[in-house]
Amino acid sequence: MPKLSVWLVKASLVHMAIGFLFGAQILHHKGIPIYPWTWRLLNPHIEIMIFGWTMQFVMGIAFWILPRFSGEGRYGRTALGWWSFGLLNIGILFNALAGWFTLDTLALAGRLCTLIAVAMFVILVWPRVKPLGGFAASQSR
Amino acid sequence: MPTLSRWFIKIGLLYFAVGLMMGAAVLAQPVMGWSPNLHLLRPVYLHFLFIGWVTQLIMGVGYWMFPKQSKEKPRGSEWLGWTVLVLLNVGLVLRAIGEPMMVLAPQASVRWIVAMASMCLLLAGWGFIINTWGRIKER
Repeated sequence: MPKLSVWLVKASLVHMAIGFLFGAQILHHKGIPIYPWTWRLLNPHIEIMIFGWTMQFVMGIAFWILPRFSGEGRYGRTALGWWSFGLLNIGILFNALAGWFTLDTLALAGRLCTLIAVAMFVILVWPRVKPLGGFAASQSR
Repeated sequence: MPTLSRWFIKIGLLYFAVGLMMGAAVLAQPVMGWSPNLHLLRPVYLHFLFIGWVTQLIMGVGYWMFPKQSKEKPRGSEWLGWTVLVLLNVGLVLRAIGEPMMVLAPQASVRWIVAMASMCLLLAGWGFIINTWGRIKER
């Protein structure tokens, strides 16, 4: 597993841990109330579970599993992947905080970070969606 | 494919089918004139799809395909893996029973069912992470 995938998948597991904690607190609160502020965790819970856990996990596995190029740079333009990883997590953090504090500007900034992160990831993996070997493999950088 | 992965994936497929049926019933309710109480299933079907299907599929495939942890314990703790499977599904089923009942027949016992479901789901999620963390590594 390449280093970028390790970071993406481990970060997704951290998000999963937090997302499950928030979700469990909300569900517990539905049955037996704990803290009055519990419902404010709902939007951060959704953001963390969808983008932090599932989407980031899929990105990590895709970067690992998709066909590689031959020779140097077999995973493609990896620098794009690291930028994508950083921006994605900043975006999720912004959106989770925006959900908690109800800040529209921060939510917009977070979503823009997520959008740029996803665009970078698409550019990174697009050429790797190809048949194994053959002409495409010979086009590696 | 290990037995535990087959259980995760096959149970996940059941949640996929049942979750979609519930979702379809919720959407069809106003058109078909069915009971508005069907909308109580909304959080249940969303979690059936997201936790019961997607997350459980990831758990099953991950347990099978991730890099081996060590020669002695290639897939981490099998006991913990089975515990996660049981806790996750007990949690989801308790939630599916308890959450609508909270509105239809709010009694103390139902409140405890929902609280128990939350604990089962939390422990299942964290158990999976503990069992998987050491397998996410460069080869």
